[in-house]
Amino acid sequence: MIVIVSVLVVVVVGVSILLSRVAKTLEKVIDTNKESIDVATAEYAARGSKFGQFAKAFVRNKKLVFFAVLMIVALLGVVGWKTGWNVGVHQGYQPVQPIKFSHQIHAGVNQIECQYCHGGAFKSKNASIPSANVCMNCHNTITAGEHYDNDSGISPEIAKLYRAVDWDPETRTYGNDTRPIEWIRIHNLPDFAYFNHSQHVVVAGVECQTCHGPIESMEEVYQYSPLTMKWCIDCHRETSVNTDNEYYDQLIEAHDKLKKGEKMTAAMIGGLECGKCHY
Amino acid sequence: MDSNKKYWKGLEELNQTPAFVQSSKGEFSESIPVEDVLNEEGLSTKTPRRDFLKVLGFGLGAVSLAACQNTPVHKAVPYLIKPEEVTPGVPNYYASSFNGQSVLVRTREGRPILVEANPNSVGLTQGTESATVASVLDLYDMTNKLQNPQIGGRDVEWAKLDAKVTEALNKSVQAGKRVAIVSRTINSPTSLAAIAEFTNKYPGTIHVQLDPISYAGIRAANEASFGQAVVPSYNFEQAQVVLSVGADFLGTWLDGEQHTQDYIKNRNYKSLEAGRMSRHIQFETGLSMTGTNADVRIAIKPSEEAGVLISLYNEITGSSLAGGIQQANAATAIKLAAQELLKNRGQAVVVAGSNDVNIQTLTNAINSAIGAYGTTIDLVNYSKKHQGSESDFASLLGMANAGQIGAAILWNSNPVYDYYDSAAVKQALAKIDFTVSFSDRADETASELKAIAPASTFLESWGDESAKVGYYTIVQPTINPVFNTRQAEVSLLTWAGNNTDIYTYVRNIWESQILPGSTKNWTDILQTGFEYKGNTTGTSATFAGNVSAAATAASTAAQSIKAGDDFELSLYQPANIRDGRYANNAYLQELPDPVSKVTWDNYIALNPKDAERLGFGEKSTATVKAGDLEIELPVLAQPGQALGTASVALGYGRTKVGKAGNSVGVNAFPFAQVKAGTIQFVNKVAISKASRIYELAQTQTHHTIEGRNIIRETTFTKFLQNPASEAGKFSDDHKTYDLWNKFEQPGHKWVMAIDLNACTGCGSCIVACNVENNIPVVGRDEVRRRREMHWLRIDRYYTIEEGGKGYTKEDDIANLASYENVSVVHQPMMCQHCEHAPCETVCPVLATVHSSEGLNHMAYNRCFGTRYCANNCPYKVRRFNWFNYWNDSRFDNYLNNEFTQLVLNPDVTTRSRGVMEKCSMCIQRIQAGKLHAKMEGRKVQDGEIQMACSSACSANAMIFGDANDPNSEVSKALRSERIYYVLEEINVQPNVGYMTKVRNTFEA
Repeated sequence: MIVIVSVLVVVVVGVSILLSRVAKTLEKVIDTNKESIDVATAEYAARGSKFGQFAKAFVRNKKLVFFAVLMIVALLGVVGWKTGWNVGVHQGYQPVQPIKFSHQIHAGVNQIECQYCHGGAFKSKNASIPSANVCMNCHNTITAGEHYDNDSGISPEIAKLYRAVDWDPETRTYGNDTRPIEWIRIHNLPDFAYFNHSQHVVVAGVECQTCHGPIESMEEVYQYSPLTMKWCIDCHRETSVNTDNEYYDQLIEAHDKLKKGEKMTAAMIGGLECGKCHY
Repeated sequence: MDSNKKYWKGLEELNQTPAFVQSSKGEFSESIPVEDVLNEEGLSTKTPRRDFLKVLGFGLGAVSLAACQNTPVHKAVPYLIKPEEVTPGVPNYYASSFNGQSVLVRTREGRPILVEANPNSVGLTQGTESATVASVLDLYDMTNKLQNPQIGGRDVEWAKLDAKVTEALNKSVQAGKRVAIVSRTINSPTSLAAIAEFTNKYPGTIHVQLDPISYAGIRAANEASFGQAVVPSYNFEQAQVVLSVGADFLGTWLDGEQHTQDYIKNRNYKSLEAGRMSRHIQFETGLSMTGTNADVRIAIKPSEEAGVLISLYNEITGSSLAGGIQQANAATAIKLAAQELLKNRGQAVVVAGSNDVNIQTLTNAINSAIGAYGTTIDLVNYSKKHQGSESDFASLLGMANAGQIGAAILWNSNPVYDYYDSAAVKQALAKIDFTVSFSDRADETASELKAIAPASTFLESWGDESAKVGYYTIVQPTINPVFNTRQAEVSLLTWAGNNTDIYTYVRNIWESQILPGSTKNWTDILQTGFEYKGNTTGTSATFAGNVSAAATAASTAAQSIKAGDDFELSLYQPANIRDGRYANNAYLQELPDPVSKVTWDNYIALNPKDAERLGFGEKSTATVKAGDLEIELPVLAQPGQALGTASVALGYGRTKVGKAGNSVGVNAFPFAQVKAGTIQFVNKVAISKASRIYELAQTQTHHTIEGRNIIRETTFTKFLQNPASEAGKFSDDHKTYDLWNKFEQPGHKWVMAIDLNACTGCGSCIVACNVENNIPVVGRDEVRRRREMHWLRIDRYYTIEEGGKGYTKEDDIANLASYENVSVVHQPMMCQHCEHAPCETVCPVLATVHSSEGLNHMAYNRCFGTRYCANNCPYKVRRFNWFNYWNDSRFDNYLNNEFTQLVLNPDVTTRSRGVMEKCSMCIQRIQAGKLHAKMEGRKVQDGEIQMACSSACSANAMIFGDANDPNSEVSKALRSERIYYVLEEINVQPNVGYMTKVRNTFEA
C-alpha cells in the first residue's frame, strides 16, 4: 500500500517537474524566435482562433497553470488513496465456476445444513469444499433431468459431476477415468493470516451468514465480506465471547472483578493481539 | 550473589583476539552498502532523461496495474473421494518406528511433516535423536534421490530390472556361485523373513552385516566372558556411579538418547529435590558431549585406555596386573572412582567406547566385580541393533576375489565410502558378475554397481524393527512412495517369486510370529506401534573370561598406537550426521556440533597448547599423515583435548550423497584399522602445517554474551547444604523499580523452566524447532557471516578447573599448562519472552508486541526490518532474514524446489527477506491446544501443549506450561530454589527460568 502511494507521489511530482520544464523550454523557444512569432501571432490573431487565444492566455497566466497543476495533483492523490486502500480487497468477487452449483437451490430451497457439505468448518481451520463423493450421495439418483429437454434426461451441470467421478448413470457404475473438479477459490486470505473456522463456528457460535452473507439465496457465490484486517478487528471488538464454555471460567471471573456488568468481547481477552492470527 | 568464575565460549573470547572483539561489537550493525552507491563513481553518473522517463513510465504502469484489481485465481481442488480419516487442516498421527524407537509421525493432508517420540511405548519415550526429527526432509529430497530404478545408470521400468536381476541370480546359482546380501544390521522380523525366503529360492545365499561404526568388539568380549555374543542393554536409570572410558554414551555410543533419558533421571531437578544425584567419571581423549556432562573428566590418550581399565581392575579386585596407568592425575581419580564403584555395588556401571575385544573383556571383568550384570547391564534383553561383523565382511571380500560370488545385493550399505579399505571393496565388487543396490541414491557404492533398485524411506514403507529382545515396533507408511521406488523387502520377495503384497506379508508375520500370546491384536499394534514381551528383569552372569591375557593383549595393542613425537588420532562419530548416512540432510549439517559448535565441516581437534606449539593459529589447516594416507584438514584448537592427541570426525567427505553433503569435510574412515578382527578407530599420525587458509563455520562466539554472569553453577555438596546455593537470586537483596504499569494476566501465562543439569547439549531440540517452525538452513558461508537462523541455540561455556581450583583471572588462565581440564555448561538460549521486553519498545512499527498470555509476539507482515529489536535484545535471540532462503538459487541445499517445500509446516508462515524472526514459543501449538480444549468445553490440561523443543528432549530439560496453574509441572519446577533468571538484574522479567548446574565433584 505504502509503495503504491509513494509511487503515486513520485509520479505526481514527476509530472509537475516535467510540466514546468516544458513551460521553460517553451519560453526559451519564444525568446529565440520572437520576431517570427510576432509575425505568426499577428497572422494568427488575424485569423481569430478562440481556442488559440485561450491557450495563449492560459500559458501566460502562471497562477492559473499552478492552480491547474495543483488540481491534477489533488485529483491523482485522491484517486491513488482510494485505489491504494482497496488493493487486494476483493469484496464482491464472483468468479465463474466450472460447475454452476447453486447454493440457493441446495441451502435455500432444499434446506440442506451447511455442515452436511462443509463439515470441516466444525472441525478444522478449513471449511473445506466437499469431495465429489459427498455430492454423489444424493446425485446418484437426483439428476434434475425434468428441468432439461435433452436426451439423457440429466442436467448438464450434474453431468459434469458424473464426468468428474466417471459415473455411468445408465449402468450405475463408476469407472477409473476420474477428473477432479477444479473450483475457483473465492475467499483468499493472505498466507500470513491464520484463520480457523472451528474456533468461530463451534467455540464462538458465529453463524455462517455473518461472514459469508445470504449464502442460501446466492445463485452464484460471491465474496460478501471485505476480509480486511479492519473488518476482523471491528467484529472482535463488538462480539461477546460465548461464555458457555468451561475454558473461559477463569477469564470471566477476572473480567467480572474488573468490569462488572460490561460484556466481555473477544478483544478484551486478547482477540486483537498480533500473535493470535499472525504466526 | 555473583560467581567470580570466568566462563567463555571460545578461545577467541578468552584471549580477546582483535577479530573477536571487532565482530562482537558490530554484531548487529552490519550496514547496508550505502558507501558503494554514494562513492565518487556512483555520484558522478548522470540520470539521463530517457532513464527518468523510463522510471516514470514504469511507475505509471505499476500504478495502473495495481489499480486493475485482478483477483489472483487460486484453484481449490477437493478430493473426489475423501479418505474418511482425513480432514483438511487437521493433522493425523501414525505410529511408526525409526532406528528401533517407536515414533509418531504427524501428517498434514497426507504429507508427513514431523516425527516425535511415542510417549506410550517402551524404551526411549520422551524425545528423539536429532536425526529422527530431521528424517522427514530426506523423504522429499528430489534432486539427489533416484526417481526410478536404474540399470547401468539409465532409468528403466521395474519389470525390466526384475527380469535382469532374476536372470543374473539364476545364472549365478547355475554356475555354482553364491549370492551375497550385504547390509547394515537388520533386526526387522519382516526383512529377515524376506531374506530367508530369498535364500530358499537361491540356495547358498549368504547374508553379511557390516556396520560402519562397529560394536563387534563388545560382542566378541561377551562371548569370551559369558558365552553370549551380544551387545547388552545398558540400564543407566539404575546407575548411581557411571564410569566411562572413551564411550560417548549420551551421544553416539549405542543408544545415546535412551541412555540420556535414563541417566538424567538420577540428575534432574526431581532427583535433586529428593537429595540424590549420580556421579559420572569420564576418561577420554577428545572432549565429547558425554565428557562435557561428566562430574569428573580426565583427558587421556587412546593408548592409555587399557592402562586406566587395568588400574581400575587392580583397585577394585585388589589384584596386581601389569600395565596400569602412570599418569598421576588419572591414578588418583581411579582410586577414588574404585571406592565409589565398590560402595555402589549393583548400582554402578563401567562402559568403554573402544571396539577392541581385550578392552571390552577388561570392562566386563570390572563390571562383573561391581555387580553390574543383572542390574545396570542386561544380557538377557540384549540389544539387536548392532550385529555387524568386519571379519565376515573381510571373508566375503576374499570369496569375491576368488570368484565365488555370482551376485551381490547391497542393502543400506555403502562400504566404498565407509569401509576403511575402499580400494579393496571396489576391487572385490568388480569381480562379482552382477551387483545391485537398494540405495535411494547413486551413492559411492551404488554408482559402481550394475543396477540400482531404489528403496523407499521408512515413511513410505511397511515393516517392523526389533531393537532389543522381545521389543517389536511397527513401521507403517504415512504417504505413498513419492518417487517410483519400492521397498527392499518387496524387491527381495519379487525376486524370490513371492508376490504377496507387503501389507499382508507384514501382517502375516506379526500374526504368526509376534502376536501369539500377546494381549494386542493387529489393529492395536497399528494404533500403539509396538509390542513388548521382554523379560522385566535380567539375571546376573558369571564372568568366565581371561583377564590377565586380556590385560596383556590390551597393553601390547596400546604400545602400537603410542605415538612418541607424533599424535595419537582418535576417530569419532559426530552427533549430527553420524557415520555419514545423514550427510545430505541440511538440517543436520547445520546443527552445530555439541562441543565445538562447528557446522558444515570436520576438522582436526588439537589441544590449544599443541596447536600453539605446531604454529597453528586461527583458520590454519594441517596435513595429517599416517603411512601412505594423507589428508588436509582445518585445525580447531579444542580445550579439553588430551595433549599429544588429535580427534577427527567420521562421516564427512562424501562425494556422491547429494548437493548438500557432497565434499563437505574430508573422509576419515581410511584412518581406521582392522586389528584382531575388529575395526579400531585409532591411529598414529604425523601432523604438519599446510599452507591453505580455511575458516570453519563455527557458531560458538556468535551472539556472545560478553562476559556477563549468566551461568550459575554449584556442587552437589553445596547444594545439599543449601539448595539455593550459587543461584544468586537477584531479587533477594535488591529493590526493583518498574517503568511500566503492572498488567493482569488472568488467562494463561506461558512460561518455561530449563534444567541446566539435565541439558546434555545434544541439539535435538534445535532440529525439532527448525522442522516445526520452517526455519531455513542458510549454508556454510552464511553461518560464517553469523547469519544462522536457529531460533534456539545451545550456548556452550567453558570454564577451567585445574588442581581443584577454579581459574578466575585472565593472568591465571594465560599460565595454564594444558587446557586439558575444562568443564562445560550447556545453556539452551531462545527468546525469553520478557514481560518488559526491550525489543518491543524500540520497534517503530509495533511489529513485536506483548500478549496477555506472557508471550512476545512477532508479526512478520508488519516488520520492515530496522533490526532495532535485535540490537536491543540482551539475550541476542533475534534472527534476521537476509535473503529469501526458500527461493534463492544461492541457497540450493534445501527448500528450493516444490518437493522439499512439502516439508513445511502449513500452520507457520514462511518469512520473507528483510524480516526479523525469533522463538514464538510454538504459538501455533499453543493456539491449537487451546482450541482443542475450547472445542471440548474444558480447561487446558497441564502437559497437553508441548513445545517442539521440549517434546524432542530426551532429558526432559525443558518444561513448558501455564504458570497460572499452580499445580502444573512448570509451576512446581519454577518454585525450585535452583531457579534463576538470566540477566535478572536488568529487570526485563523473562518468562524462562533456568535451574543451576550442579556438579557432583570428588573434592567437594
